[in-house]
Amino acid sequence: MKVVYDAVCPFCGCLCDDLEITVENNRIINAKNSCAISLSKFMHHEDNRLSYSTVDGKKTDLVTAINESAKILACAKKPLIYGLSSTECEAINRSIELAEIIGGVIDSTASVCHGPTIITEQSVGEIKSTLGEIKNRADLIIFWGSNPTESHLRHLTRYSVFPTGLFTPEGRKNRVIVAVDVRKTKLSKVADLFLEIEPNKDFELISALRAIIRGVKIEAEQVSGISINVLKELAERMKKARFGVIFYGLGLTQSEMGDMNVNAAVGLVSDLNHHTKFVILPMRGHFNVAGANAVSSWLSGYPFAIDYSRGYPRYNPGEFTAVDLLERREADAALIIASDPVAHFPARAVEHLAKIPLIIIDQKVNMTTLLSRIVIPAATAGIEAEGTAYRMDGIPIRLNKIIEPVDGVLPDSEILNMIIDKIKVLKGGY
Amino acid sequence: MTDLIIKNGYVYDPLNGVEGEKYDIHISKGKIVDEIDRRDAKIIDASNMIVMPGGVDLHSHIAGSKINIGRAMRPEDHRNDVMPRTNLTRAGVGYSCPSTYYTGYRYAQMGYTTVFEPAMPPLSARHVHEELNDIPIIDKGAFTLMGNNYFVLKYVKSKDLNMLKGFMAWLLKATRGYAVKIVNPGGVENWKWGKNVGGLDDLVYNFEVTPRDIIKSLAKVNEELGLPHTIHLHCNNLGVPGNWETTIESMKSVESIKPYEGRTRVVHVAHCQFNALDGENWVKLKSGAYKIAKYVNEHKHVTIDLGQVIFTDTTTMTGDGPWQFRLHNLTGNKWVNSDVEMEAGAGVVPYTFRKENPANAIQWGIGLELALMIHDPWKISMTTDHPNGGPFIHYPKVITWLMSRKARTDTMLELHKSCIKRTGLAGIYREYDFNEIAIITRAAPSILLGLRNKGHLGVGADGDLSIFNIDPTNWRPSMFRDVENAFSRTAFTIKGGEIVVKNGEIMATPSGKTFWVDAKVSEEVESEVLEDLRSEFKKLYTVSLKNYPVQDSYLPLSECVKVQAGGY
Amino acid sequence: MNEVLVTLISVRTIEQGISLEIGKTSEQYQNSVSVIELNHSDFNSLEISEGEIVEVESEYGSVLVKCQSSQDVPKGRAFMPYGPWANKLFSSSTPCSGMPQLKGIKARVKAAKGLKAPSILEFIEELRRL
Repeated sequence: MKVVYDAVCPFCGCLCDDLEITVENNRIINAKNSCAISLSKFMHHEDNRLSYSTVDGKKTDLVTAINESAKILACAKKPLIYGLSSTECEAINRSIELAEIIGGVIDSTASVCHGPTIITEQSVGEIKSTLGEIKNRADLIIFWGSNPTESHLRHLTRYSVFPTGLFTPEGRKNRVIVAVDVRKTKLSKVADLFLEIEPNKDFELISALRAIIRGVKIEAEQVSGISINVLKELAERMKKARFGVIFYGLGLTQSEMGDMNVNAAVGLVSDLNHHTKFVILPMRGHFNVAGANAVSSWLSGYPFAIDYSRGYPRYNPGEFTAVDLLERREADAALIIASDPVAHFPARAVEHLAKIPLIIIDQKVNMTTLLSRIVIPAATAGIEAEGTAYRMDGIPIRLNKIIEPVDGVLPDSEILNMIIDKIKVLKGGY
Repeated sequence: MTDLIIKNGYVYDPLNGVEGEKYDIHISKGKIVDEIDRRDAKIIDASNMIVMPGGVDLHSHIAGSKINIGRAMRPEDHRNDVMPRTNLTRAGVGYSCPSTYYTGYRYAQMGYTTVFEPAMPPLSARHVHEELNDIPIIDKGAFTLMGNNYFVLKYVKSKDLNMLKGFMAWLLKATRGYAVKIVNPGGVENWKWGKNVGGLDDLVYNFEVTPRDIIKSLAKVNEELGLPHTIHLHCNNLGVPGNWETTIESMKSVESIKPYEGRTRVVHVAHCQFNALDGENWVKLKSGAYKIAKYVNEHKHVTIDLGQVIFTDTTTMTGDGPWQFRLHNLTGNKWVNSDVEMEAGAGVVPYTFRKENPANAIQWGIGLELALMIHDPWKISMTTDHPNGGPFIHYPKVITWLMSRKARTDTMLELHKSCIKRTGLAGIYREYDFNEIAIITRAAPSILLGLRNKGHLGVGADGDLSIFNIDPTNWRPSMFRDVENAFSRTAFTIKGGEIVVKNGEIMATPSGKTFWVDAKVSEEVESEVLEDLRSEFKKLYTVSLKNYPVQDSYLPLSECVKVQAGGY
Repeated sequence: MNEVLVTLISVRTIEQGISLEIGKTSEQYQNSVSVIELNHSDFNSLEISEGEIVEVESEYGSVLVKCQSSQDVPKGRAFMPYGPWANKLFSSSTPCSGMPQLKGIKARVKAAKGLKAPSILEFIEELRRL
């Protein structure tokens, strides 16, 4: 029996690296310091696993599955590679090379998650810090459209609300917590101030705050369901904070005009920097979506939604983003890596996935594997395969290989290497 | 690998005193050798061409979170220069924030074979190395940011230079860094409260140390450790009119530091142009280059790199968070700020240098003045602080401005007249020759970095060469356009004895190696530092101490430079 | 028949996270994700009991799911865990941003006693028939 200390959890953007995983006979028998979801991931990683490749529903060997996949991808006119956020960086690196070789489109789950954050970065910017800065300095923490008590379970204890730090020796007592959400949540009950905002009205509320902070008089008595007096108080708190932070989530990005919401929020924090220290951090969901963006950016110059059909990378959200490509029925084949778009995309986009040759590389049975023509089982990154993952604040941490995968089940990066090699042969060299 | 003989070229190897002599260079098994068997060798005919060691760039933002932020935030930048995939090369994009493969290819095409990333935040060192691993051909390394590091500030405050020594050695090893980088010492820590420092004797909040204390302590220990490079300093007050005073103060502050044996230098001032501004404000801006040059000429302990301005749209990115905020406010351009817990910060803001902008015209003049007024070219490295002053692909332009007064004048006449009125450039007649160019682009940077096998063509040196299609015996400064052409695309670039570029085209894409420094300290100090780290890390950081250091898997090809001076 | 007009918001929940790590075809996933949460008084106006099936319909589609009530849900709003049931209701149009609107759409909810929420396998069958 052995214990892996300081193990890294491969679930959400928190990328906690203080887990203690107990292993016996190549099986995980305990996981300490993990949240409920992390515990489920480690203790149930063997459930519903894919253990062999299939082509058209029939069991086959890996090489056949690779060869069939290579044929489909090499011949496709507009192949889509999608997923990436739940695997490690070497695999993402290979995926980009694959997209280059087949002249396809490559996109990550960011496009349906924090794509608006990236689009805002490209028009207004980003004002961020790593999570330790929050732990050590922040005395005003605002969660906007984000509910970490359901999605990033240890965020509050490790990074934001409760931990003690260099300049926050009393932890919770050193901080004022504000929650802005469309309903009460476990978070709002922990918060000092809760603003119940009307759905799709974040842009107005943020703009009103900006106006108040800039000294503009607001005529209305309430904005987005919040009274002006409450807003004025919040604005004062923000200006007088020693170090303020807004953590924002899908409440901003997935509501109507998501990228405009984020744009306004970053503008608000930019204004606040004239008064005090303030940052704004996106609550990235998957454990390596930030890594998918990072690797894409350094290899192709672009963070997501990249097209290689002209031989060089091109970028255009709305044109090369996965949901759009499928909605317009432009993709004629798809390779899904560590993701389940059939479960997670709106219905019309999913319908197109049902009509085109679909290949998936993943660990477990999911809706996409059930629909795919070719299924290739993969080792679980962070449990059976090591590699780099980037935390939600951009910090890279090395994932552990804790146990050996089942015989014949390879890491994503190796599978992708095999596909790349086969396609190079099919395409006559490069 | 086939042996190579480069025949008949005009060789410029300043380190070995060769200034344009014609002789043959022999390369075998990746190294320069005396004699080889001609029968097995491939002959490269370098007749009527210049042969220099491969270029060495000691300050270029090529890898890590800052440049990656630049790439992601500026899709518009990339449309200016696209690189389709070929059967030998990967696809990529430029321009001021190029993708990694583009970076390696373009540097090699200009004859550069070694490039250093000057600002690596320790917590994201893995990111730097992952990117370096995806930059083909060139050898590389990165400097570790230390000037605003919690532990550094703590030991400077307690004046415990032994612990500082142990920590610096530990941090270099943990990050696989090559040198000590200091950016706006104290200012970046204050920026974490939204503040800055205004001079060397301002206090850093909560630490009660001054930038002067930080610079002096790091310089002293750097020399005691015997690190191959001196401290690499981005001075306080970058970009602030009148900052020439801060720069000279900074250089003065380490005048009496004892250099490591065998050398006289103790500090390298990065992208000096940005810190050579005179005048009370932007309206009254004028060149401070003369004052800086005078000091550098009178002292042996300072070296600089230029940070030359190019008139183009580019992207500024530094570890100087408060400066980048200031630039965002000056320009209204989009702004990314990125603070790193306990250690560092960064900011990225697009910027366009315009010929009709009086300040930019003066800045352009300053970079060249520094190169031309400092007598000893061995104190100078040619850089644009890529991409801050401009993309590195414009280096050949800088070479023409240095080699040809006519080239300078032609450009000067296109600029706002402030360049003529507020700098001394118009009155400078000096023109660099090929030997001096070889010094500031190859030989000097290698010496400054302490890279024994780079920057020269003596026996034992790495087989890194660039061959430029230009005949120095038939060249006059008025022919500067030929220089720009020749230095933009080499006739040949040879890396580690392999032909990687021929007639400007990529011929091979071997992987380069990453240099890093392992500095020895006494076991006692080492364990005391580890003890301190263990006790403080959990409280301060959000990553465990065990997961913090860069693992071996991030350095598939590396050369560890072992340094013994600090240990006994 | 009683129906309620709501603003529908898809969300993440702990149960959804735990169950998807077991597997999408697991019972736990079915139970925790094929659900809609309504405000007490909205729920009562449908005259159903806790956990009974309702039909949720938007401009883009409809789906059958279990219905629960919660005191934390404001009147006129409804919450569904992000997943294949909720995705029946969202448009895949993304006003050039790549991001479809997955929160804050209009939907109507009415009782569908005696009917069953589709399973993952039934969704797949439906897709295979396309």
